[in-house]
Amino acid sequence: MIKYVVKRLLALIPVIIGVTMLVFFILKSAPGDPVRLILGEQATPEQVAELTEQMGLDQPLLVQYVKYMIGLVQGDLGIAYSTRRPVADEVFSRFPYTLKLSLVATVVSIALAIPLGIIAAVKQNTVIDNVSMFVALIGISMPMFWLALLLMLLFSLKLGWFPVSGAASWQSYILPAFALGFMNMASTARTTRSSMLETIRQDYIRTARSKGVSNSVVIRKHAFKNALIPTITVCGLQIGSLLGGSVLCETVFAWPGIGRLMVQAISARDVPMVLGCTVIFTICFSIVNLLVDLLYGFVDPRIKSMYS
Amino acid sequence: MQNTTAPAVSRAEAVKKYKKTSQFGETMKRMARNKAAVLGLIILVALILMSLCADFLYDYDTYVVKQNIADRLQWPSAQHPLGTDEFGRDLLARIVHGSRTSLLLSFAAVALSLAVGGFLGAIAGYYGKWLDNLLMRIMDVILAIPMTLFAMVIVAALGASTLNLVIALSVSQIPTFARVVRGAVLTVKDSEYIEAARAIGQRDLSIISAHVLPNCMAPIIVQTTLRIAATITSTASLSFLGLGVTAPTPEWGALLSTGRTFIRDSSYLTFFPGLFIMITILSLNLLGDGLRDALDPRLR
Amino acid sequence: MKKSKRLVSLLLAAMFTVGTLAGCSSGGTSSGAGGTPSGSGEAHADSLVIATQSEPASLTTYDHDSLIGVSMNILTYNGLMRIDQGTLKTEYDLAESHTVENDVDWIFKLKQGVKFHDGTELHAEDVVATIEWVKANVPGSSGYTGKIASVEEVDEYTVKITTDGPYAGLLYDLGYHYNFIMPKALIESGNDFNTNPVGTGPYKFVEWSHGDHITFTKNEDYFDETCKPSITELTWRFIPEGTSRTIALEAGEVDFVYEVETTDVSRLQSNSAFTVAEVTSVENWFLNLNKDLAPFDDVNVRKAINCAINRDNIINGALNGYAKANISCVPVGYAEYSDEGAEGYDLEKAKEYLTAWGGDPSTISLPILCSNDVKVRIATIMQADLAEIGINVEIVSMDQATYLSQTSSGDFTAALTSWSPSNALTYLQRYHSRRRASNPGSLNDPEVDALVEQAESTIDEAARTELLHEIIVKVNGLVPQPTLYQSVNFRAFDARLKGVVPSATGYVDFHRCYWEA
Repeated sequence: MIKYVVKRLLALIPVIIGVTMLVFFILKSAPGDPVRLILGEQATPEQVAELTEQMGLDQPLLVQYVKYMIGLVQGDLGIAYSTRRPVADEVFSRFPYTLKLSLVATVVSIALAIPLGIIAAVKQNTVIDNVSMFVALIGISMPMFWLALLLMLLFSLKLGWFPVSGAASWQSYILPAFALGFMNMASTARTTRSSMLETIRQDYIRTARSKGVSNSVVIRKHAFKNALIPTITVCGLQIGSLLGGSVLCETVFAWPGIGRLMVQAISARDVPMVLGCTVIFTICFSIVNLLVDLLYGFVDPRIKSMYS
Repeated sequence: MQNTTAPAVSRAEAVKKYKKTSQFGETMKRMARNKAAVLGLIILVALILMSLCADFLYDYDTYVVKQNIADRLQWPSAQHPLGTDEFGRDLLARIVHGSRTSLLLSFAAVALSLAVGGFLGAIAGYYGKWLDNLLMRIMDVILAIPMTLFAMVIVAALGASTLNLVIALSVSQIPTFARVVRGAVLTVKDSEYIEAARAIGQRDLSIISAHVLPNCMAPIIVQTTLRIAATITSTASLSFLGLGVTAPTPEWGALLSTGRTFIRDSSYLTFFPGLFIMITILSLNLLGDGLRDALDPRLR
Repeated sequence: MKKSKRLVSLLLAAMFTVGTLAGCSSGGTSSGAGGTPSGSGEAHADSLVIATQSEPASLTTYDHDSLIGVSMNILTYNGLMRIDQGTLKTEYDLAESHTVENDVDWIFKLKQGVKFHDGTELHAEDVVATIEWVKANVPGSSGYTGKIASVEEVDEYTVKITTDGPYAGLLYDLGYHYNFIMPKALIESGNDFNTNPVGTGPYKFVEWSHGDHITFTKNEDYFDETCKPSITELTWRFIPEGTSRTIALEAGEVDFVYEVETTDVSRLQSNSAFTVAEVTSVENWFLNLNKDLAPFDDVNVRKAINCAINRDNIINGALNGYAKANISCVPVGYAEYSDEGAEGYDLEKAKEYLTAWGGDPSTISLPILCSNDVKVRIATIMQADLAEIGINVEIVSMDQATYLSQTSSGDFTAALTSWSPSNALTYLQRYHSRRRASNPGSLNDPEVDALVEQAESTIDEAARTELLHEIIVKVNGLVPQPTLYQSVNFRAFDARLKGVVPSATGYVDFHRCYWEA
């Protein structure tokens, strides 16, 4: 098991190298000079040249990249161009907000999607089935920022239930988490529904039913647990997309997370900041996937034996 | 409704005549039984027809581009069924023409990523070994970067134009298709008919294109419908971040995004573009889900 | 069939639900649900929460040149001089008086008893250390420190600044944020002024939660007895989305919106719980034409374009009516303002100018670079206007980074740009051809150059004002960059907050604000 985890973590190294290389060179090839952005429209060429040299941006790209990577190996994420602060400070102070929001959103989406999926499966091909699947689809069909604004207008302004912005209290989590979680509900609900349908038809369920076990017990005790594995996979995959989807949510709700930071950094051509965020995203994405894989083991002992 | 579904059914029957157990025919038949999927298909066809007829419905220059400041921000009325935007342009005309941009953009982006991803996935799956390993690791790298952000980086590098938007939206979806196709290729690669083809000396490329790919169409079609839906939302997201289609070209995501500052007093400006986006994505999802169910024999 | 009917009705039901949601939001306007800020009056007495669009890059005086950064700087720092928010004239801040000897030596007497936030007292050596350090270490500051040849301490409270030749703009430069005074001891010890911005200003820095807020607390020892800060705690919250800022104000979550979305102005104005203060800013927007490119090197073409642009359409269509049309090459608000020699919208005249030029307007292609939504909207309207005289406008949308690199390298035909210096001299200096080094394609006119140089070295105010007027008339006749409008800044805030004086330069003196008892 430990061997397996170590192996998976080692496999992360080439991915990080690849990701940083890709982002570094694409962004460096983008028109636009971070120095210009700092100094503004009125700056003279001398001022620009001086600051460029101060920031080490006059060196060849490859040298800059290698320097960055040497720093990265030592755990140094570099200095942000736009704020002149260490990237690590900025990234680590803001990443927890995004992570927390993503986790709450996942909980929201699971809490909504699994019941919908189960109901749909149990009442397969009825109106209830159709309604459930339809509701699940609405989240995916509405562009996030629109949904977010509507939620804000209704629940913050009209009803005054939740804060409009920021991350000051637990109430602040509700609207952004709903907006985000709603987006991912569809695929979780669908997966739950199909895997439930599949399990319900298994022989052991039929056996249980024929023994006279009540329907709700069959669903809760026998079918649900076995139908859980595909649902976990989908949820795991979605945490990745949540991290990415948080960009819009963070902008609308003024959430102090890393997604907004990264959007600003891209516009500012702040390469170290963008790289720092990307590296964190990548690591987090991989760890989540790893956790999901490990979680299978707990849900399904047959898979666990494969790790050893 | 009956009329539109007819071709699908008759085609399915036609196919069935020749190939007794064709997967395609079976699928279509099962699809036709799924009313939600049929509804999705009908809506989609209607939207495509709308985009094709856009020029007959509204002249681009006089209705879509020409401004009329005196008429700005008017709520829906007989004259302007969906109201007017902040430049006094008819919103319906812009939505009708916008369907062209939106659909074309997302179809093109998905087609591009399907072509590239499909090709990479096919050769990775077919040749295996180091090539497979290398290509799949590259795909892992792309997959590790959140799609919206990667698209932003690419648009920043290439500049904001409709073509670059297509490229940006497609690159981040390449891994999805590469994986699907690779998986499909792996399942059929060692089957007997492939070996037979190899035995009679067919070249790799023609084996892949003539024998391997047609047999893994099913999951590809499903992915394609679902990815088109995702691309439409991504375009809207990019518009929100200021990197969408350039004015005055109408595009649903851009209409929704620019309308958002008017959401309080002129909510119709976001409601209608949003509604069209929703309907399109819903229909694509209904269709995609229907196809998936139809392709999954376990759920029969 | 039955089932599909059910599906259709479902679809309709779902749409209805969403429709109701949207409807609620539009209906919410009249009821003004969030009309009364939820907090009680007492809670407000000691704090003010300000919502602003963007986060400052730095709290230092030297690592940025942005409006929001300066807004932070004026809380924690002072310069020798300051710009009066109402008259836009310089007045004494840390300095008490000044005299000029032989046109280049400026002697400043400092106020006594001024304390930095760390308790140490301000002396001449701090002024010397600051200006010397900034001059030596901050490339971006040269526009404001470049003319200073040397700074010397005369005695504990007297500083002598020597300029490089007679220079009339020194007082304005000293009021600029690069020249805000930091304590010498901290400069020498390598203090990080970003995390520890110690100055003499009315507010002291408390904390900065990145991405969320910055908090300041009032400086009880503020030197200016006439305007000691009243509100104890000042919190700036960063809310990027305009609609969200307004909703936050209406819901009582913030007390003050620094940048109000123009679409929300009328709603807030009609709500008695809020005050909307408006001021025409000196931010002057224009269509920057690359005068190195034919045919825009021809004054007749520029005049034709200038006369074809309908400023009212731009203001009503792109800016919701909230801007002030301007045709002069300087913004309204400067004492020196004049629109003598400038021309406005006149299609007939535009056509005449095109005839005078003699070319075929359909051969002119005019790609306009735009770096944000508002610029795109403006360009969209100009596209329609210029089509009237046969000029074809293409809208090129790009992000700010690309935009800056193209305009600064001269790789552009036209761009929408604004200038907003706080005084006419600095503004008019930008028409001097030396600016071409940083902004290729700008004006290159020897007569204007000579006049600008003369004004710069004229220290006598009356004589300088006359020269500035001459430059304005001259430049208005050349139409280097058709002027469009001046932005109107809106600040919306809780009606119980008093003492808010929005300034044409874009800043608000928060230490002069107080809660109504």
